[in-house]
Amino acid sequence: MFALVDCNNFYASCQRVFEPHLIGKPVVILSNNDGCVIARSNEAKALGIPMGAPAFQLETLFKKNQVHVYSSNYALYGDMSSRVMNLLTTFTPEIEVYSIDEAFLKFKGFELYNLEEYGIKMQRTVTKGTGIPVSIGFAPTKALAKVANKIAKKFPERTKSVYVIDSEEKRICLLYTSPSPRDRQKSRMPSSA
Amino acid sequence: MKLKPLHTTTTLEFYTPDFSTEARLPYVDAGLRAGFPSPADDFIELSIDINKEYIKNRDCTFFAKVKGHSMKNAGIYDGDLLIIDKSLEPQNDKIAVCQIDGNFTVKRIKIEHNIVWLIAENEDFEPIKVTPENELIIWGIVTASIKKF
Repeated sequence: MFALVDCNNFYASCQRVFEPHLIGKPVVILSNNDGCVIARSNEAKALGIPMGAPAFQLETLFKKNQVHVYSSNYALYGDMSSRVMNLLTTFTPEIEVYSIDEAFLKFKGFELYNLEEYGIKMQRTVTKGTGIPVSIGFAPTKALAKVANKIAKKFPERTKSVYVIDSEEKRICLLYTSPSPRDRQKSRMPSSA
Repeated sequence: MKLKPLHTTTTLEFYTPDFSTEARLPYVDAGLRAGFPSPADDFIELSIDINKEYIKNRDCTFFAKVKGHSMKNAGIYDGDLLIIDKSLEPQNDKIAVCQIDGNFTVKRIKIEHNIVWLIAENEDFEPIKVTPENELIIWGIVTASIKKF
């Protein structure tokens, strides 16, 4: 089995570790020289702030909705990322750090483990120890682990931020409901096309 | 051990430990005993690494420089460097870095009859009674304080 561990709104979460009063408030992080929006908290996403949008176009929206806007602080994100990744290596020897905020973990020889329980333990350890909330998806392949992760992230209460695709029924059901790459392309195209 | 700054607030300056350097110092065993020397003395570790000695969960450990004197009776003074472990559970009588209503503070946790108090170790500061209206986050537990002379 593979797991994809992904930090929720990573840059915004890093900011919140040291400014917990930002929890529940819209937070956006801007790229170098404060050019574009490169990270958004869920609350900022709900305001319809698009990823990659130039910051100067959003100034009134930021003011009107009291959005907390931060310049990126890569030293902080790098430090928090290495803490998360190091904690993950205590759960399995095989880890592939995929980006600053996500890693694939291989669980070979864990057949006797209840991976959902194990995942919840991983989730708690990382979230408590670093202050960064993570979501975890388990599945037989990396691509499916990504799909499972999406479910864990979308339904944090119901899944406790951990979801395991461990049956053929779950796999088929999820693949039917997940948007295919073609659907995604369609939704990005202008409606007249 | 270098300190890399992470974040600064009005009450605390946060740093991350840097483990790229190692300073092993010879360790002198306390207590000279009269009589026959213990044969086990030949096998004791002869050096001490401050990182290892004071940091149990390195990935959950943060440093913070204190501003203010509210914990002076606990031996924590302005400018001291606290070692904070975020993975530890809050317990009665522990010194914690807390955030109450958006402000960071270092206080001792007291739990009495299901009421949580944040106690300053300084006569000039009143204990803070935590009520349901307050928003309290126990950010981490202070495990040590480093003082420079």
